[in-house]
Amino acid sequence: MEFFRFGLNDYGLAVLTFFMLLAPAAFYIMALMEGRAGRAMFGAGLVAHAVSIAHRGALLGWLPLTEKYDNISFMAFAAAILYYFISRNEKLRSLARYALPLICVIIFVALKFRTINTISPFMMTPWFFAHSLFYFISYAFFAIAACLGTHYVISGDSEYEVMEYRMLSLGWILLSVSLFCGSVWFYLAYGTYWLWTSKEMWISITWLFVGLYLHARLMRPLHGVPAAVMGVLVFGVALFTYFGVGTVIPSPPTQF
Amino acid sequence: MKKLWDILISLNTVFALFALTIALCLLGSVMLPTHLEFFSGIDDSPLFQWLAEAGAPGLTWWVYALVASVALLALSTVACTVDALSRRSVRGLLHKLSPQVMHLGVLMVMLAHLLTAVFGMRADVQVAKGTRGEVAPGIEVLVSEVSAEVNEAGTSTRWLAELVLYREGKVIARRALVPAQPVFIDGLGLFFGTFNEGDDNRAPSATIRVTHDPGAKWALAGGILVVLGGIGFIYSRRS
Repeated sequence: MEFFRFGLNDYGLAVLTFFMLLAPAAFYIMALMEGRAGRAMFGAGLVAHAVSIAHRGALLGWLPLTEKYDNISFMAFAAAILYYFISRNEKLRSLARYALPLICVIIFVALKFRTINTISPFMMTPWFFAHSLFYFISYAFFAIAACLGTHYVISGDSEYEVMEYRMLSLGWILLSVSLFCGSVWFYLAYGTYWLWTSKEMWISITWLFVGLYLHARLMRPLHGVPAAVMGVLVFGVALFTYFGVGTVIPSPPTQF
Repeated sequence: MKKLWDILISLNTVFALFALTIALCLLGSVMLPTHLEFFSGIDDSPLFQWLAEAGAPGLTWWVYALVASVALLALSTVACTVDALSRRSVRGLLHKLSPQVMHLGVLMVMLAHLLTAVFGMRADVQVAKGTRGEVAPGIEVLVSEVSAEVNEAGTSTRWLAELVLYREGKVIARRALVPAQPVFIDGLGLFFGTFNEGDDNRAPSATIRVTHDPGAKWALAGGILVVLGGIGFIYSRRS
């Protein structure tokens, strides 16, 4: 682990870490260029981002999924990979205009947080890491779904609406897997899988809201733009759960 | 009866129940921190016991409404599952069954919450090194050793408590307890709560959380079904 400090003091390491995450954001923005140049920039962004995450993991000695800086960076990385696979479909080329700037914004949000290099003894279990991993992958699905839904609402191109639905269905399943792993972790760590706090309420709201969208899409009066707007709002609800609870709505820290 | 069944399986009903449950969770997320002192004990005893003792219907009505809303959602889920299974599917058995397996998993998680809310137990026991504490009637725990590993930054990285468990004064087990790796014995779960360093006058101690949670196994089984149903759903779409 010491090797990956490259002989830098804490300040130097913080600067290096900052620029290592800023670099992929620059590449992702340049990926908006048309043709091979854009694809090359996107590839460079993915590689730089992977190196940034791997560097954090090597420094910490565990999966870098325990604090906001690393979690949000990983969410952006997962969204970038997802974007790569979806953008291979020629019919969904407009996604770049929404997804790439959003991925950059997510990276900028990550950069606002300090890196934290410690971990609670309660988190040192595979269940916690599985929970975090699936949680932020599901957020990436919601982010890309929001981009697809926004384009559908603006353009009316139904290809985007269908893909938005697929992203939200898969995101919901991944969120469920994450909540399952999180419940097992929380039970093993704290002796309960549920607490009556604002955080638990909003995690439930996120899960229920995706469920609401999936059922709304099956209802004739809501199929189309109304359901697509709800699908876009899923990402907003998910973001509020992560950022808003504890700041806008107070939530007591976990017992112990 | 037919009319009631049609209401239960109606998408409008499911949508309304989802929306109602979301609204009640939203209200709860505001009520809980606004009346922090009042709700501070809600996690320390079974939910229905706490509700009966807490009184103050003006503050707790939303919990009752949330329980009722979730119960109605469960009822609607059962009806929709039965209805879906009775229909012919054009997209294969896996596509037909996967959402229903997820529904069943969600129902089991709801049942788990109900069991825990009625029959659960939780208590925190602080036991100093070299002393015994009672964790349940007739069952005592001796903390023979308790320690913390600290890194260069001075942060605890690992806590350890060596336990000797007694029933009616006789040793029944010796176990090591660390965070997130509980010890289960006689239907009780023992969890590492906090490590207290101690000082010149007090020996170091560990706070041990003792739980009896009859819903935990149901929640685990329900969670597995939700995951399996989800995987089946993805697989059926691919094929």
